[in-house]
Amino acid sequence: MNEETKYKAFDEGRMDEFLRQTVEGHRIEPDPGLWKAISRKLLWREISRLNFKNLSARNWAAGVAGLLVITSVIYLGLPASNRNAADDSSTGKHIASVPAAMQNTGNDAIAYTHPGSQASVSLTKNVNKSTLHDDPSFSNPIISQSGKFDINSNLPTGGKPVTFLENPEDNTTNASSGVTHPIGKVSIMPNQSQIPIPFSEMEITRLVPYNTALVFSLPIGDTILTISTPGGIINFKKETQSTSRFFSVNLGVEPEMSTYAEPDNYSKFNFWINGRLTYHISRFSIATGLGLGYVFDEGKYRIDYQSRDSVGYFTSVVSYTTGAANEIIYKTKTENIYDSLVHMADDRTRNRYTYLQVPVLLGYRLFESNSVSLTFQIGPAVSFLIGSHLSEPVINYPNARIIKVENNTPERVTANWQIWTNLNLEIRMNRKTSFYFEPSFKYFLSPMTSQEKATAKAPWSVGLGIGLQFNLGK
Amino acid sequence: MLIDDSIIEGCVAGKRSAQSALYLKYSSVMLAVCLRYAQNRDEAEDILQEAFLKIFQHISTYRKEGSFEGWMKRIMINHALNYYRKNRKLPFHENIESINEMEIMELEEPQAVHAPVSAEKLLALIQKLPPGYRLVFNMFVFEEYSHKEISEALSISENTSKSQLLKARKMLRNRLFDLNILQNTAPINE
Repeated sequence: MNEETKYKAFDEGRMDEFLRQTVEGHRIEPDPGLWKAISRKLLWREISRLNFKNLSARNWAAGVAGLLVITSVIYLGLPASNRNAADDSSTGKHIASVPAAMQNTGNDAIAYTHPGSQASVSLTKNVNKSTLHDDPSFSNPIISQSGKFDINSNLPTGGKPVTFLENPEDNTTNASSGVTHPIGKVSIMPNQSQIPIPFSEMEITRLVPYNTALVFSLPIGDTILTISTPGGIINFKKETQSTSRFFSVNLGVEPEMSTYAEPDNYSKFNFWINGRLTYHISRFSIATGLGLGYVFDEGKYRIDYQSRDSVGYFTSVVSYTTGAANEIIYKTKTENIYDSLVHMADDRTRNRYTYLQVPVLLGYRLFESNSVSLTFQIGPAVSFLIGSHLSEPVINYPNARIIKVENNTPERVTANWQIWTNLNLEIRMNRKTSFYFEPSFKYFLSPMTSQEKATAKAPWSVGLGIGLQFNLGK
Repeated sequence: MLIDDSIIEGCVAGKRSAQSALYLKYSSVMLAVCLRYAQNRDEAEDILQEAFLKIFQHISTYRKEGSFEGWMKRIMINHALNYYRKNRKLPFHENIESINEMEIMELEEPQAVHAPVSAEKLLALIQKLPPGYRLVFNMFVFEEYSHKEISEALSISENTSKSQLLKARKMLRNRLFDLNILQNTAPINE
């Protein structure tokens, strides 16, 4: 290779220019995996901002599957005893810590009931004549005493004891305080910090040894009732609310009314068939599932046609004859005058679209009793358009020539996002099965159609879901 | 390189398909830019990745006043500079208070001839420059920043910028000579 071919003149005279010319605009293909990494980072960034529009169907399926696996593992990982304890918590019972030495030693019963703000205490003693040394006054082997008090107002701060004294002589209750009876004394001590126990009814029955002094104290903290006896102290406590965990399955239907915003304000009826799996953890829950929905909307067509419109008439002479008196007799006929006019007409049809909806709802149980519960749920939902049935316009213009039929129905987007919120009212038929009524509200984050702008035209809908709820493992 | 407005609008709307199209269109050009600033390909791809994320995040701020490619390139370069600021201390340790202007002129005298050389080879030579030299050299030669602009961008003095450029050129020229890409005197017609 001679010098001439090996080297070119350094025309520009500068190394900078030489480098610029050689390097500028040069392309080097990046690693094929780089876009995947960028795409993944974009996705996480979007998810962290609650933007789910770039999630693929595969992502969704994986998410739902992952959720199911996690909740299943959590549930199945619970020891059976925990699950049973969780089950017991729903009954509203209370537990008592009874000293071991006192258990199964007597045959007397103390009952404490708490219906609303009034509490009553009764002491029932199964008396065995032999224990009373053949006292002839105890002809009736059962002696009962009871009393009521208002836990909110009737007892002064600090508590003047309400004392139930057993009179062994006549089997009656002596309410005078300060009298000590050798057989028994029951005092109810209120506490200033008492809080009405949030249960409509409570009943505790324990056998305790009958003795000379039984002192009842009203709630302090978690202690519902304290009974002091010479044999020990029995604390009746609210049962520790074990975290209850269980699944529930909802199957139901939901009629819904969607309201579309400007430029055309109108509402349309939709219908959903919903199946939902909910995992409950204490008062909280997370739910997902599938909904198959029939959504109805207007189809819009513009029809241009030309018709012969009558604009008047005239009388034309068909023939004439001469009469007997030389008068001219005309034979006429009426001729209509038509004008060929081009018309435009709007025709609206009813289209049906089929959607598959996947919600992820977080719930919080606001209220619960033995028979009903009320849960607030909120979360995102995505709907995928899986089918559409578009009605043809009805064109019935006699004496008209159709020029053009223009379909102005906005095209529906294949996936759209909503914020879904509802109030789930569960009415229990039994422990496992409930009815539910669920008024719901959905706000669409983006328009349903691709021709609308996101800011002003996103629709919203209200619905009422009804169906059955099956509680699994509760 | 023209870009369809719909791609930009799609990126503004956050559509992944548009982002993918933008990436496909520009990633190879931008990687070449990143390679000039990076020490190796891995580093360049790191810069490219982070810069594209930034572009997608801020694409709504592009006002269509200049070329889109130029806008992207500026982000790439800024990101490359930030990358070096964050990840390593730039060795701008030679702060020459007074640069011999004659020396610079001498260095900038045209070389006689050069051999055909591939862009990859030149990029590899640029990459081998020490980071401080490389940054200043790239900004001055390819992005055509002035020394004042470079000094502001890198928080160094103008004289340091000049000295880094001087040394970068000297080093690069020597390597070009070593590889026989440049020859001191080689008149074509002799």
